[in-house]
Amino acid sequence: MKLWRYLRRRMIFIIPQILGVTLITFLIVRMIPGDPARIIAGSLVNEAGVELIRERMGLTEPLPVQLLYYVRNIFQGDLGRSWVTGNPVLEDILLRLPTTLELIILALIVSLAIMVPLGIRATFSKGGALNRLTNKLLTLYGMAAGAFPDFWLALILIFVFYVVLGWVPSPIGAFDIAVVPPHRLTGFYIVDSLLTGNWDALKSVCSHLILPVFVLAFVYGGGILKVAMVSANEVKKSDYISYATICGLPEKDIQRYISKACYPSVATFTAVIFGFLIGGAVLVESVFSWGGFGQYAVQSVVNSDFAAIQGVVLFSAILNLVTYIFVDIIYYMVDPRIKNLG
Amino acid sequence: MFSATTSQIRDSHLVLYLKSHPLQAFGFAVSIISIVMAIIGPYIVPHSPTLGVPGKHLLPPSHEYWFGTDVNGMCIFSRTIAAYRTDLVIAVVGALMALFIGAPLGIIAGYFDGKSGFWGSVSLAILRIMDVIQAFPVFVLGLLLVAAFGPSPQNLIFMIAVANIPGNLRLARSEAISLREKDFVESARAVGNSELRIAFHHILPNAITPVIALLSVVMGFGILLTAGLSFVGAGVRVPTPEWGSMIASGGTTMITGQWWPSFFPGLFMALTIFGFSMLGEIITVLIDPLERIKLSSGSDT
Amino acid sequence: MQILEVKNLHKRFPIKKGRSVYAVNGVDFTVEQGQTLGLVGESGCGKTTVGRCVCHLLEPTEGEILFRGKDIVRLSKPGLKNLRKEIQIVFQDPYGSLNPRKLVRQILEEPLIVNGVNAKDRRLRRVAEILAMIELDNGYLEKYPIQLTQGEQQRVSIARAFITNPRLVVLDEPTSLLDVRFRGEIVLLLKRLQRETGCSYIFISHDLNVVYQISHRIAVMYLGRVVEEGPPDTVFDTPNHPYTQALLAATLFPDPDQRRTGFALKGEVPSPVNLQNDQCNFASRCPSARDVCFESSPKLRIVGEDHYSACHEQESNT
Repeated sequence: MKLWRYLRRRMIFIIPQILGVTLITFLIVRMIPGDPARIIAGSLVNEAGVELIRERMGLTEPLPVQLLYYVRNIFQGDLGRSWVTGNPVLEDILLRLPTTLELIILALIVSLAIMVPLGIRATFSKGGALNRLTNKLLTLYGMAAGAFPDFWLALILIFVFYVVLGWVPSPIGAFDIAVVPPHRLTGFYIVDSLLTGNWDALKSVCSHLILPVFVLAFVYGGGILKVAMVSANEVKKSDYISYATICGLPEKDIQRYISKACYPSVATFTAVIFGFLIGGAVLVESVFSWGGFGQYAVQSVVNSDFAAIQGVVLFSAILNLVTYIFVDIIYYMVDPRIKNLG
Repeated sequence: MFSATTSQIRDSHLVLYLKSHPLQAFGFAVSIISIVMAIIGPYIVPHSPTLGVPGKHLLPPSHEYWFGTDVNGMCIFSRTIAAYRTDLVIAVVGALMALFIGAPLGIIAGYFDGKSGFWGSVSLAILRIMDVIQAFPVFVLGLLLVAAFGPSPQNLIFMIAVANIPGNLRLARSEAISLREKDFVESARAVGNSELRIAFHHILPNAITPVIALLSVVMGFGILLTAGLSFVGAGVRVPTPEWGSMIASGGTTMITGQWWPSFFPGLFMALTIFGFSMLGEIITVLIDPLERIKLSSGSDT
Repeated sequence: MQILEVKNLHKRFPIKKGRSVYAVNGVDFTVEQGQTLGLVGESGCGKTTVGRCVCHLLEPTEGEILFRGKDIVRLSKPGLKNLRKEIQIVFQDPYGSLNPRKLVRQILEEPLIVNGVNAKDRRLRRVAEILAMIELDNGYLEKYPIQLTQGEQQRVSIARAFITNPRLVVLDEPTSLLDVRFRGEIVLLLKRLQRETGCSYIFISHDLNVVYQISHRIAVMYLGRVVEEGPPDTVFDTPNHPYTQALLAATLFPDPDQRRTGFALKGEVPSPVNLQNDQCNFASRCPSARDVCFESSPKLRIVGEDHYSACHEQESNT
């Protein structure tokens, strides 16, 4: 009940943001050079025909009226039609989004599962040459990983593991050519393979996921490790942890205290990465011809696919905002102060 | 001690810090070299960075072509070095624009935060606009702007500035909010300063240092954005030497075994970004008076 | 001649849900030309708020502040600019009140710049003059505040206040954050500056010793009201209000012969949120409180020669 009230208060801030995003997207898309009616008509239709299309698309109306139509259509779930794929944009996006989300979420889960415990353990390491070396390496990784361009690292790994060693399947798409993809239920390849019991597809998709997931987890895990280490160190210095220590609490419990206090900053940072990757994953996607949301975005820009650009931008912005609400919920659950006082 | 000028004090702190932090020292050297390369790079390269030699395409690294040649027969070493200027100019100018627009707006937003009247409304409006800009995922915003205005270097600069204004602004704003409670601000008001003069003469100089420390991080991020957009064909295009488009043109040959067209530009790009992030770290430490005291006392004893 | 007259000054700060902190609740006092009014009381009694209202850093909720006979509460912009030259303030924290990024010279020049002294040589002449008055040499001009001692920082702060030749300076606890070794020299400096310039002071402090040394008149404040007022010797030797007695009893004077009389205060200061002002605000802690003290609020009344107190107890005695 309280959570609901808390979220409602946050929503009040989100709605103007969404309206602003809609307005700006609309205006900038109108600035894209080229005539959408002409593009849709193709070169065979004469000027009168183009004019007809223009009228049907509402492009002859004044700008504010167009905006009104546009907002009305959004509320009816109509984001327009892509002239490249010929499908409604919403359909296109919903088809591709799970593919990208699967990649991002897997990568983030992998790096969180490895980096957060590592970062917290590192603050507890005792002396000894080996421990010092590990800590140095972790610090180096935390500072340097984010400097690697992910698309470049992906190419290098393809060269090493596919071209030279031949350990991974060919980096094109999510399945081997010989494998029948699973029947589409959720759009998440792993989930669909599991649900339909298509073990060949599962094996294939997993082997295709190894490299892209590793690349994303490696590059963005550096930041997660750094945030975890910095906040764990800060918490460790605080008086209540010193108190717990002199009270003789076992180290395991103290580590648990510390990890709890680290979650909010790690969650925020992860959300920022997630938001960035909604668009940014396109780089890795295009290296592996993954065919997800990001590649759709780039295609639409390269082809001046107006409706698609508009839809992609709006969708990703809303997804981004939803992520922040999600972080708020995590905050709410992790931090008893918000729960009880907010 | 006080007879030394402040710049001398800072120099010695920098040296002290770099001596005890090899990684940061390495990053410092790399970023200095990067900046030098951006200035003189195009003049010292052995081959033309924009002209291909027919029949000499995809040669592996050799004595003549240190990093080999690409599909167009262009010297990869020359292009990699010449690309310093392209990428750095875009990133640096974009980052500076973000600083020069974001910081003053952030000061206004912070100093007048929660106040009534004209400037209070301005402060609120600035925040709301930033909320909207930040709602866009950065890369998607970049794509949108490039789609609308075309993939020229100027538009990439504009895109980097827009994407980074909110971050700069919020940092300056939070500094201003904590500074405006200080007594020296009240003193400035008591001697008759106008509110705007207080904001820019008294708050700004005190709030600007962390924003400047952020600059080098924004520059690194700007290089990543520029290269990323160029990589997918929405940024700088061949034959202009640029790391992202070079990596892209080498991407297709990677599968057939020619690794060098992508490998070298990416390596140099990673080094540069690493260098700038270390530079940011160094500045952050050195502008903290407590860290400075720690540094000098730690070495004197 | 009076330079400042404060009449029925109120200042309330709104907080959440329509409630307010009642910081100042009807304060009256006057400041004579060339003299010092000492404003004493515990922290939170509203003395600093009074000081900031006088300097026009806060706008009073109610009441009048007459400076040389003119009300300064509602002033136009140019009028305010002129007033800034005439009424100045020195703050408690010497380092915090100096902009850490400016040189001493820039700090001292600034009031002249914003008050329209455009000729650089005139400004520098005045800066040199004021520097001599506060006994610092020219070498200090090119230093940053962090390079000065606390005492020197406070001197610069004072110099900044005096540089526009003000007629009234509000000294808001100028000595209480200083090291003991700097306190005496700052008090002596302030006394000398007053002699030389004929300027009036409002000296705000909780340190009764310092107030006694510098003031020509003392006003004791409690919960936003003046409870006792008079010349320092009268107030200190024959304190009338129970609160003043308690305050004096709690103070150590550097004089072995001084007897400690009175009683120790018990309990906490009541919350200043939504104060009703329909009773004596001190009644909850007063050892001699009677029914009447909880029923009506006492007014300042004359209790001796030039000596005023706001207490029901004394009312019935006289």
